[in-house]
Amino acid sequence: MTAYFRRLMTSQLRPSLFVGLSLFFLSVKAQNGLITASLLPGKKAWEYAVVFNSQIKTNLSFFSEAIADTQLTVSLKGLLSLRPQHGDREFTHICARILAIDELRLPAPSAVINEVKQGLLEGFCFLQKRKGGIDSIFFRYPPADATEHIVVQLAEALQYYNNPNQSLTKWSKVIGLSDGRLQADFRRVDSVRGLSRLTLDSLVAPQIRPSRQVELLPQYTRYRTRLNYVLDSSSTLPVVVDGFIDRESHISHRVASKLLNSYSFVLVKSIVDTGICTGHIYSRALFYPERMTELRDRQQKARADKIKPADLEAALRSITDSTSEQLQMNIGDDLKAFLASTKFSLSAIEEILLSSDPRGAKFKLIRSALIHAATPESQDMLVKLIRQYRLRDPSLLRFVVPSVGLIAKPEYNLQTEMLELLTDKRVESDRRGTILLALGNMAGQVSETNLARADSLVGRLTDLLQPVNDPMLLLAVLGNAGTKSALPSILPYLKDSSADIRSMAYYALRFIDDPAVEEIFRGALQDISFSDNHIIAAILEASFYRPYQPAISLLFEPIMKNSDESLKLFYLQLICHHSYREAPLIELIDQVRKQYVHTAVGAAAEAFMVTAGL
Amino acid sequence: MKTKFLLLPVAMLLAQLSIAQNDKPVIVNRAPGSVALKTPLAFKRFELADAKKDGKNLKATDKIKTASGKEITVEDYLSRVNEVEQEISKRGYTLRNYEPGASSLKYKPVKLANTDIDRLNLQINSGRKAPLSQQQRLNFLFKKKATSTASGTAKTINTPVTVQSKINTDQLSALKKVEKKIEEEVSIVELLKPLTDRIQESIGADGAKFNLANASLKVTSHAIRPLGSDIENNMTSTLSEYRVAVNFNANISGSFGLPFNITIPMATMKGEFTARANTGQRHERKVVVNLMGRSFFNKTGAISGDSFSEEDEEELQLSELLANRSFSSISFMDWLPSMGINTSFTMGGSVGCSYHVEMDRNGVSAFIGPTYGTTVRVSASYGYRDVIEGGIEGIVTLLKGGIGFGGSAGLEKQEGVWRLKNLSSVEATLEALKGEINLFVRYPDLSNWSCWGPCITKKTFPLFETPTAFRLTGTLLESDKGVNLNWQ
Repeated sequence: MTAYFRRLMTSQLRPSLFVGLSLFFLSVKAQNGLITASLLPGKKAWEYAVVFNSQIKTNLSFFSEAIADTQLTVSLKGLLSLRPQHGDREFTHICARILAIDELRLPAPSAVINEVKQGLLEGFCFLQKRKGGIDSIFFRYPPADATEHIVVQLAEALQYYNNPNQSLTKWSKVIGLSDGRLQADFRRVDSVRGLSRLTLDSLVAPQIRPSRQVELLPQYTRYRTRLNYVLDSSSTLPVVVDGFIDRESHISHRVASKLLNSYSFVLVKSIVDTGICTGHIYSRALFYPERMTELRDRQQKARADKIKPADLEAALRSITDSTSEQLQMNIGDDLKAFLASTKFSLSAIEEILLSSDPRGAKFKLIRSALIHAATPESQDMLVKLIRQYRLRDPSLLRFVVPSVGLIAKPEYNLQTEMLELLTDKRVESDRRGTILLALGNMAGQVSETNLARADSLVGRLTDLLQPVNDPMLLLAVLGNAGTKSALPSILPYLKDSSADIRSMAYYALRFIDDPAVEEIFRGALQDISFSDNHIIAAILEASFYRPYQPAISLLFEPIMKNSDESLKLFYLQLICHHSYREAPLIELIDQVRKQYVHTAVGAAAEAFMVTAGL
Repeated sequence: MKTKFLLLPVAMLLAQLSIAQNDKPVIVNRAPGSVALKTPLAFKRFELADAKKDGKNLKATDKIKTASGKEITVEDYLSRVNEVEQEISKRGYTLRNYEPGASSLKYKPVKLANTDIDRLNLQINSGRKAPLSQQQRLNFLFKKKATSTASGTAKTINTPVTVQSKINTDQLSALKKVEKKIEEEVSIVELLKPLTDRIQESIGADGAKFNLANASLKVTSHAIRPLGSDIENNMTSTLSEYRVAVNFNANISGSFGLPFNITIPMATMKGEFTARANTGQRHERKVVVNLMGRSFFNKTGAISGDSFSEEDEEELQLSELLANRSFSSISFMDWLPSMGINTSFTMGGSVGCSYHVEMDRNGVSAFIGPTYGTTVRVSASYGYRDVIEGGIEGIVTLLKGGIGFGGSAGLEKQEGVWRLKNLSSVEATLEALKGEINLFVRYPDLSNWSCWGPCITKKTFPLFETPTAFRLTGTLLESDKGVNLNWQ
């Protein structure tokens, strides 16, 4: 075994060499009759020699070229058994187990390494789609974090898509990796002795609609891959997989860290595997974005466990406007963890909130924590606060209404309470605009989880706003909501006689996730005379909240010929914003830098290029 | 480990400090200073014989505690120590005599003493009139309201009057001779220069930068003499117009002792109040407050009636708009290994806006007061094999306070003389840049194994330190551009 690995898997070999060696090895095995034609359900399994290396590099040169990068390495060499158990039209249930581990390196204490070893030997299962993609992974017990990581990274390389259309040499398919769904570009290489070869040439992350939540500086991942698959036409699984999937995590244009995975799976023989592959109690999707949220929740729970309610209550009562920001932030963090935990009574917090001066630091800190926690209990407290202000002094509603619109997953009772404010005669009519704007924001938050409910709320808001005859308010409210259902009510104002209303209507389209909006923008930018800079500015501003559209690039020349300097700067900001995910835009920025050397826009382009290290 | 080696988290944090929205973050590199690189040292392994407690050698299987308190064997620990030693020896350091120092910082720290800032604050505020209270300011702006009698009390005419639309070219030409327009525009950038210049002088020498909000106040008084001799009663048929407009973009830009210059966009506030003399036309007010792509105030449009008075205020905490962000550099992993960079970034503070406006057919007076504060708290740590740890921690209040913009435009008759009013005022109660960001390193003292393993030493180096805030408190502008009109 060791000699085999020494001969085959010198860890520094790159994929092309792997392929050659693997095929050579495979052909030798095939001639010796070790490879069965296909696998049948049952205990018959395939045994693979596996080499997996995973390097995680932190790119310290992000800070300075003079500083070395650091890295840690995970490596696994061993024998892997894959056993298709049963399948249906869509999926094949495949049992996997590491049969023997030659080497396992992890930057972890030996106890953790032992735990990982045990987990790998115990095995896991995965659901493989008929076309090759992997859907979910199952473990008999909740695995150690490190075990889960290794298994997930291993499984990524075992998925492929073999297009049955033999006339095609290239095709694409969306597959899931642990960090997202990606467009995978495959190529048919050739066929040798009944074995065909496929190559995964590239992985590209599709554009996603930006979140309504203000995105902190763009963070995204770029991929580089070359995975070679050797397939036996009659088999469920590839007989050889080797190559790599590299990821670079970017912050703006800087590479912050890298994950470099290299793989080699080579079929050795068919075996009988008696490993148990039933009774899984832990499953996860391969693409499992909630995982990081769960980790954060776990950390927050650990913080909450350390909190003594009486201490927190005392700390909250002690807050005054002169309390230091640091202390306020620390108490705020504790309060957020406290509110997120369901094991505490919130009556004391409620009493402090309801008796606090709404202009004071104590009130603002608690309000902010309630909005952040967004639990049903937190929302109940906000409902009580609104009710109290309605009775006591409706002018105080200004201190709670705008914030309530920002709460994630608003409960029905909070929504109802806000709507009731609109018909409450005690509430000044001037306050209604703010309430409607907050409800618009609330509709936008609801739309993230319940589109039907969001549409219903938008319909209600539109009905309430129609008789008011305040187009700017209507557009501001619908713009905050940003649902498709708001579109018909916005459209008529795109041709309003007032330039203010027209530009507001274009801006109100910013969150609406509908291709029609791109058409509207494209049409407006084609027809519009470039003297109508307000409309152009509104479209550009709205485009910050939308995925990149090629129409933006087409504006380059007309805008650069425009005499409005602020519009040029605004346009530059927009293309800088999109350049993180649309690399070709960097050329446009560079063009601005070179062509407009002694202007504000040229200087801004230069500053951007320097910053980005481009 | 070399101190600067630990600064990646700073970069990560700074990256997050910027907010991608309609206002774009701008990050500009600070120029690094010259740090003499040390000569690499030959790597010399730590052996089991180096691990001694009370003069006795420890055994390979003895358990000791790591920097984070985990229990591992001496053998395992030494293997990790040697990994670290090999890394840092390339850069001229050794754990045998580890001396991380401020001199190894590539970017010069910004440290300002209390006495220096106090002296500068005296200069900044020298000769400056204390700001008026809001009521005093309103009294100043609205002071003539009670006696302002251009046409007595404004008449309410239900039928729109469009006298001016019927005038012919000759009449228009004659009218132009008796119209007067005053437009006073002030840029806040100029008014805040005493503050920003002093801050820049203080921290600029260290390559750091600081800029404040951009805003403008425009007060426009445009009076047109009515046809005929009865000015008092015929003003309401002219197209005279009075406007107070504030355009405020709240953003803060600075590098705060760190290797980047960051712009944090926060809010856009527009307040525009237009009073029209013509009773056939309606007054207008436009109050728009947008924060991070959301509308919170949108009071726009024409106002019914001759007189109008309104005041309102709103404030939001930034933490309600922005979720706190924990960030791992390795965003594509859901397993964080023992070596990782973990940052936590919290932005505190608030953005608010209050205004008070009064309008009638004789003019407009308005006071618009944006308030804002931003505090960033950063904490980042970087651990290497649970042997050595470093990072940054601290909190800086970037800006806190408010700016009050006041304007009054209109027409009034004082002691028989017509006067076109045009008052502007700007005052500030701002505090900037108070706080501290430190870089820290925790490393083992391998000559002392008496702390359940090697004792851990912690060294702290300030990257940014301003114990008191820069202040600008006072009236920045009080301007009266009004003129008496030779209207008989």
